Amino acid sequence: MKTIDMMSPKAPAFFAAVLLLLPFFSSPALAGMEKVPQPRFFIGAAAGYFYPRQDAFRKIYGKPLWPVELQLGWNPSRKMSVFGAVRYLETSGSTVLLAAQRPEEKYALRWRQATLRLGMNFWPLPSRFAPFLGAGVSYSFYREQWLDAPLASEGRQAGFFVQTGGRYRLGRRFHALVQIEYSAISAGGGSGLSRSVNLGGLNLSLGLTAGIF
Amino acid sequence: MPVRKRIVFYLLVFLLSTAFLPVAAAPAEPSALVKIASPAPAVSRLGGVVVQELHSCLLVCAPLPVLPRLRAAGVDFAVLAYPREGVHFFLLRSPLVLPLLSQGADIECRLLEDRIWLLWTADPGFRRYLAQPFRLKALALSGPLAPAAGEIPPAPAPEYEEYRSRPRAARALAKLTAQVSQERLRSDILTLQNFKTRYASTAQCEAAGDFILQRFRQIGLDAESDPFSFESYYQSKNIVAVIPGEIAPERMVLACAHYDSTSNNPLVSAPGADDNASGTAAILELARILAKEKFDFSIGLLCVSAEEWGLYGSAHYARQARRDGAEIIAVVNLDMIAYPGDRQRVLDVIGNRKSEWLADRFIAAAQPLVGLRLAKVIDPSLTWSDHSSFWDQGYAALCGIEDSDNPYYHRSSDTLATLDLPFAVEAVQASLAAVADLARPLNTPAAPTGLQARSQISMSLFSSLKTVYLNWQANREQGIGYHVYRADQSHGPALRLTAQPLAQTSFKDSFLSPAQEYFYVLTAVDEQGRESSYSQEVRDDENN
Ligand SMILES: [Zn+2]
Repeated sequence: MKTIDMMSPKAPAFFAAVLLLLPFFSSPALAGMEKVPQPRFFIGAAAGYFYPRQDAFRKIYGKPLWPVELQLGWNPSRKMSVFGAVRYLETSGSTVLLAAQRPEEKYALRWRQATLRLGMNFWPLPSRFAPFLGAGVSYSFYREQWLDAPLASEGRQAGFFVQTGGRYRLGRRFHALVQIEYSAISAGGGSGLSRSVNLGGLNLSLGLTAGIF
Repeated sequence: MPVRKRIVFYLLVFLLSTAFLPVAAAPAEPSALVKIASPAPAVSRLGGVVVQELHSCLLVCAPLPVLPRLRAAGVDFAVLAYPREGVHFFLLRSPLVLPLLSQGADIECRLLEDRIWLLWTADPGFRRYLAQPFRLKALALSGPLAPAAGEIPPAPAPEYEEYRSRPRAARALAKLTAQVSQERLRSDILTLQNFKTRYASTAQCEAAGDFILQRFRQIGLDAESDPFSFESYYQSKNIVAVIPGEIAPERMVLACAHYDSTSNNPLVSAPGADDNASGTAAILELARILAKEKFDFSIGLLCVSAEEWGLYGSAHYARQARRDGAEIIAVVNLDMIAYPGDRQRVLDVIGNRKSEWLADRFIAAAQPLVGLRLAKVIDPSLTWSDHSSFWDQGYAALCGIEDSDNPYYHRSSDTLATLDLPFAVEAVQASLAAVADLARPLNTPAAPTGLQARSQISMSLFSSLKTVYLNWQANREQGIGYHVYRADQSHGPALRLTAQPLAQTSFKDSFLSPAQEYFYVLTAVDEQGRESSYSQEVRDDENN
């Protein structure tokens, strides 16, 4: 039996550092534009690359994972926003063998996961390129299905996330967004591969938001 | 009926004219009968013919030019006699210092090994010089059928199947053995005893043969009388019946017993209740019970005569069978099965080395069903009954015999009153079970062999399942399919997994719980849908 195997932190840590440092290289000349009144509400969409924290997950669903997300947000002040979002991940994989006797044995699997997210971001240095820090909670619905065996597992699980990144103002209403996020969703009992499944990991995503009113 | 008498007369004349040839004819070329310490593997290659295998030595008939070759090859031998026309050779078992009453008789004898003598004579009336009615075996020294022990391959042994794992076959055998009737055994032994004597060559012995023939026919079996001659002047007959096999009738399991008897006063009184009305009654009881059943192989039921003269009846039958290429899988000879004595109730199962598998299989089939103890004895020098004639022809044969010294043996006092019939019932049950098992009851294919299992667990994130991969050896029969059964406990109730018999020799059992152990057995199914008993059981990861 394998236990939880944390991801190698090297690559994501590099991205995180780049993102955190980006705001400090942004142009001060653009700061004046922050005077323009902002819409209080916004909608957004993001997509990105997900790196699962657990070795078991990566072995089974080994290919690059691309979750997508839709957001609805509110800016109560210039330095803070609150958002709700739904994120969806669907992928396929195949089983792994315990002590291979028949190396050719393989079952196809399908993974579907929808996560409701509620979070808050802080913008300590509002400017045309503004870095932010954020955190929030999540609630995931997931289903793992064996495509050629009468077997499926499904569940729901709460979790949390922390994130950081920056947004770049493209106009009065539009922002581009880059963010990196660490999440943890402890889903409990698993197969022989891991005693306790965690659906979290690192997510690097790019997005676009639009102020609505 | 004068016509019938005339036919019998001509038949007699004809038989007498040919009778001497197979038994007493000297070898075609001048030869010597020599004794060689065994084992002596080179003897046959150098041109000697092994006539008899004994405990510590071989009797070999060697043409004279072969003797220097044996000497040159360093084979240590002693010449016993130079056979010539008209001289009979016998093996004789005697505990006495000298087995002869009179020195002056035209009889020569030599001690070969412990209590076993070679006796040769040209005098047809030599028996009157014997100190007792000893156990005798006439030796055949010549002709194409002279035995070459160790050279004739035995009929192939049916595959041995572990008995424990064949519950259905075991139940079927138990159903058969439950039918053995002590009353019938008693009544048949009494009838045979009431012939007063069954000394071969007497009219009473012939009448006893007729009685057996009639009993076989009453049972509804195809039976016949097979006359033969012995020692130039005498005639008797074997009685043989057959229950034809359903699948391979050319292969036969043979149960036999001699019905003739002898005593210290053989022409007048030889009731031979233990020796061997007991074995003969057993054959009749086997016939009665087995005739109602169906088997894959044929079952032969043979009552032979002139055993007491030197195994002549069985030698006649076995020679003929070999000459005809008969596929006799196994011979079960019953001789004296109703006098256990004071000692433990033991039935010896005597075989030679080639018949050891048969003794094992006899015991495996029969021991679970009977209270008496079955004791395997492997000794090629125990030649004193009809199984020996079959050994000589290379067949697998064994003798079921009480493990005791019957004090009434070869006496006028060997009567029903001295017998232990419950012991005889068990001996018959044991033989019945073994014969039926060898002939394959239920008329089924052989249970498949070589079953192997490997299990594989496949895992996703949240769940896992086990797949079991089975494979086995193909049965030798044609047109066989296979059913696979699974149980959750070893030897527990098994669930059939296959709707139709499989043509291939592998099976994959999917979607199983990794937490559970599974056990598998197989059956073979023939084209008529008849199913074998279970194969050996395997656990799902037995061969991981
Ligand atoms: Zn006898």
